Amino acid sequence: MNKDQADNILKQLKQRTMPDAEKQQAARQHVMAHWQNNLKKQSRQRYAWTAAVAASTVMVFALVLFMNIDSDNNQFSPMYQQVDIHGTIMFEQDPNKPQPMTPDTRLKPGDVIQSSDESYLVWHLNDGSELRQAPNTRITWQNEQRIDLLAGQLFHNTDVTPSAKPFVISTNLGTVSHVGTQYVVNHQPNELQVAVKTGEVSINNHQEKHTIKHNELISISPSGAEPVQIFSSHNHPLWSWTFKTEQPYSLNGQSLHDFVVWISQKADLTVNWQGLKEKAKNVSLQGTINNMTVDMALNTVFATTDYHYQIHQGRLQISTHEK
Amino acid sequence: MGRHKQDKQLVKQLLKGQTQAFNTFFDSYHSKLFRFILGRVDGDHDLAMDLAQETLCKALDNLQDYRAEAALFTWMCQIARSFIYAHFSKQNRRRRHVVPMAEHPSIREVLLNVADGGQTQPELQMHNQELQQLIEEVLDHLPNNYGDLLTWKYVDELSVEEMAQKANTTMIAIQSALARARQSFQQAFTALLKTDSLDHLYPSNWEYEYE
Repeated sequence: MNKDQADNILKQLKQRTMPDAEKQQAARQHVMAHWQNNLKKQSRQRYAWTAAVAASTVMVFALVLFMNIDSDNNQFSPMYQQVDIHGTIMFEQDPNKPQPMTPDTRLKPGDVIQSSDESYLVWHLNDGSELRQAPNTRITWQNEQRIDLLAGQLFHNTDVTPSAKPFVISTNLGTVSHVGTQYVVNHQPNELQVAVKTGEVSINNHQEKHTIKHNELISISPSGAEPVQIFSSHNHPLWSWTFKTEQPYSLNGQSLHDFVVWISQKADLTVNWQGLKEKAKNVSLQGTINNMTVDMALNTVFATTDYHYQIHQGRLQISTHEK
Repeated sequence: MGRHKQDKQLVKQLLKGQTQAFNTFFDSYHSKLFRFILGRVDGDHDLAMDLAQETLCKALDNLQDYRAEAALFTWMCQIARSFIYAHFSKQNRRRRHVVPMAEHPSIREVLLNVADGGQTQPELQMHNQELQQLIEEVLDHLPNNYGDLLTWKYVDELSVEEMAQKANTTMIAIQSALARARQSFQQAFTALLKTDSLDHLYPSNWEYEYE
């Protein structure tokens, strides 16, 4: 088709077909209303979508934050609930860089915690039991139910909670686990001592398994275990520090009777009142027992009264000057 | 200018909610869609109006899906086709539109006769309406509003000066555009005489140019 032919066809076009003007105007209004409604709907959808994205972002951010916090806490709370620090305690994440430890220090498994000559710690474990770390003791937490005793002494008191979980103290000479008790583990170079005040403790020294009970003490060296001994907890060196690390005991408002009952329980002594029980209730005391051994506490308190005491074969005998 | 850039720009403005863009959109496409549909619904004006309206609404609902791979009008014609098909399917009626018209031997004869400047034979008068629709459809599908330009020239019989004034451009630009519009129409009709279907007449890759 050439230009002229196209021109001839175009000349056949008489008039353009148009919709009815009135109907077209009605259609314009209808389509415009539809368009505007659709814009609003899309705007709402965009707003909802934006809000959903924003909410999701906030949630993801919060989750990440929570996980980070939780991750930080994993270094802390799963192993123990809280720690009381007495004196200066150092901890090492890098063996060459010991740092002072505070109750807020977040420890990781493998960190070494070292007490000095005059400092100690009380760990409040997640099961509610209590683990005391003696002066000059070096430990490493493995997890909430296992600790490595590198050197020194630990006192584990599970009597404070009936639901204590099995806890393992590990040394290079063996592992010590308890079945609800109060016991002390002393680990020195080439010697592991375990003394039980109440309950029962089992020791596995890689070759043999030993079970010791109330007032029994076992010593294990690289050459093997020595015979089990009977010990008296109130003045044995293994136990004396555990009393010193007790919470301060206020005597104010207490009677001599109250004090004697308290210390006899702590030192595992049987009281022989010799008829003075009622009189002792009328003797008022003042002051605080803090950082003392059992003997030091008894001496200090009885010195302020007209009463005497004597310890013989696990019995605390009370007497008066007149007598 | 890039392909369908003006269409893309119009769509962008519509998505932003610009009323001016809506007016341009409606004024540009409602009548064209009406004519496109009218030729396919056996001249039923009311139905063509309804379907044109539905097509525009549907197009506005789906503007975000327009990728400018075809002209906006071609894209809307596709929507219109689906509405027409759905309508006749619903009515359980056979389609009665003029798509196969170009295949019709008599129409082909009319076109050739007209093209050669011959008088329309009385026996071919019955096809005048179809011929009108065919020319209009080709005009509506021409790019760059060439259809409007040719309408002003051949139907409204406007002078070049009047057309320039109406298009807010120069007389030289209008003369140039008019020449391109004729050429475009000539190419479309040449293709029409060689093809079996109108669907092949409006390639999606037509370059759109603007003064």
